[in-house]
Amino acid sequence: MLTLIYLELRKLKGSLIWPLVLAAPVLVNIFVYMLATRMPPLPWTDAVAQGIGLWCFFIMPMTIVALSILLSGVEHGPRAWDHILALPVRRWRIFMAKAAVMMLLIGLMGLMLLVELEATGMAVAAFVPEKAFIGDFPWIRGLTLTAQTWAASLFMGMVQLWIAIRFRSFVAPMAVGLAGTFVTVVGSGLSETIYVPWAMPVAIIASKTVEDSALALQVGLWGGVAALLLMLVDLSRKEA
Amino acid sequence: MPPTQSAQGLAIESRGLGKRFGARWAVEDVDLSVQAGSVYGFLGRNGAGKTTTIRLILGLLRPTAGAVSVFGLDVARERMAAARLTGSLLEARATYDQLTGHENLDTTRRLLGLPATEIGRVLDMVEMTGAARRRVGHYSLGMRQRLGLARALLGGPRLLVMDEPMNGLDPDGIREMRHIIRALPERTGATVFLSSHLLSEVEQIATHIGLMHDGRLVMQGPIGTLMPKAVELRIRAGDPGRAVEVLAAAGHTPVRTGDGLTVALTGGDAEAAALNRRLVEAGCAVAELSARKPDLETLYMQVQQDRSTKNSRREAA
Repeated sequence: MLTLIYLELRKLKGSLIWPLVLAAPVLVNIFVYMLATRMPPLPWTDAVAQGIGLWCFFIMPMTIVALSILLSGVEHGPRAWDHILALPVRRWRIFMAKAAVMMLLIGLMGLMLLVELEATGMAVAAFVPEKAFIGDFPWIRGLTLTAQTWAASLFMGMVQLWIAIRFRSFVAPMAVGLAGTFVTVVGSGLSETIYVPWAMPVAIIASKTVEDSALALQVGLWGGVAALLLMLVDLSRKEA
Repeated sequence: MPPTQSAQGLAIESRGLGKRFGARWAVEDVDLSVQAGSVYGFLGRNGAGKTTTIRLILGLLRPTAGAVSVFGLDVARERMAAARLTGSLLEARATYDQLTGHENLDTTRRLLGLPATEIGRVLDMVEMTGAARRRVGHYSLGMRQRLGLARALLGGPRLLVMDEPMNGLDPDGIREMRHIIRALPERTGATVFLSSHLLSEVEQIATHIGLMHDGRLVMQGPIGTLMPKAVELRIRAGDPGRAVEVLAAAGHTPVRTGDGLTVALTGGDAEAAALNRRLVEAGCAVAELSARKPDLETLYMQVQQDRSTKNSRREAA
């Protein structure tokens, strides 16, 4: 499986995925900087939660939509599925490698976001000292939230990837992703929204109760595992 | 009916193979017999069912009816084992443009778990060693086809399946591919199964042919036995009317074509010389006497015409 993951990553050479992976966390940090310089000084814990919240609320779902389209497009574009699926390789392993790379990239962006948040805090302290974040950078809290939101994004990620691989046109995953993100945005604050895969990561931070937060994590993670298994079965059986 | 134990020496065998998309049968009742070691030209016009059949052979589609086996391995039930014996070239552009030719081959090599030396071997076979470190995005279509062929050759498959490998190539590209493909059975020992609508190319490469028409295999066998035996003799004589009489008296059925006549000849050069003598003795000055050997195009057109006529009659009935 490691070989397949390595090959998937190598296929991304020169792909738009890398600029996307670099830009998405930076975009969140620009928002965090702008908000920080316009608000009373925040404790570091709140600033980190705000940054990860912004990430999960809109940028992460849209990034996952783009990632799924670009990852599947590596094969859709040159019509390489026929070649790969005719090889003596278990088909589920091919799709599993795609899913693994997708989740690796989402995790990488989460970690980059966290590191960049500290840098953003330093920038605020340097350029607008009166707005500097209060206290020390909460690495434990930050890493915990990053890991939880990453795990909860599995459901959304697998649904998006499944659709993106199944349909050659990018319209289907784009439409589903936009609809999911739209529901997340307009339904924020509603308890029912935590059952929408696209809202599960943000629900971990924004839920009113700890129970709802835990529920969003559980549903996002286990729903994601179920979606992954269904995707592997469906795509492996599907005629190329 | 699934093929039982494959007949000795068959690389591909199908029995009653069919594939339906919705209400339409794309391929129906196809009984392929591809001898191991042969170069099998799979012919037919666009939409005849060639690509669907190839996708069934590679296990990319599941048959609606019948079965297909590769060296006795049922493709539907033993896909992995059958795929280990098969290399395929389906789409010239199915390469990763952002990677070099070498990296493209290395991707497939690693998937197949082959040693790194394999890449040099297959690059040498398709004469691409010099261009291997260039990005595939900068390759011509001919180079992409050769790279695709190199990829199909990784691991030394016993069966090579190619879908229109010369499609879209310029004359130089066609000549290069023909040269490489023709040498494959001898160099690799592999059976070659290729679809094409370039009849003259298939004629130069193939030892066997199969002809698809409207989803059905209407003819297959060694190319030499399928080809019409009669040579077409073209005669241009001074007095065509008299020449027709002389030829008819000699037992032929001359057909007027342009400014001359044609007759079918089965007796070779001796018969042509005899006809020439008869015409001259009868006072017909022979200005031209040329024999045209039957080619695949003649055979193809004849079969297509026969099938179309049969279909028209069936529809009329």
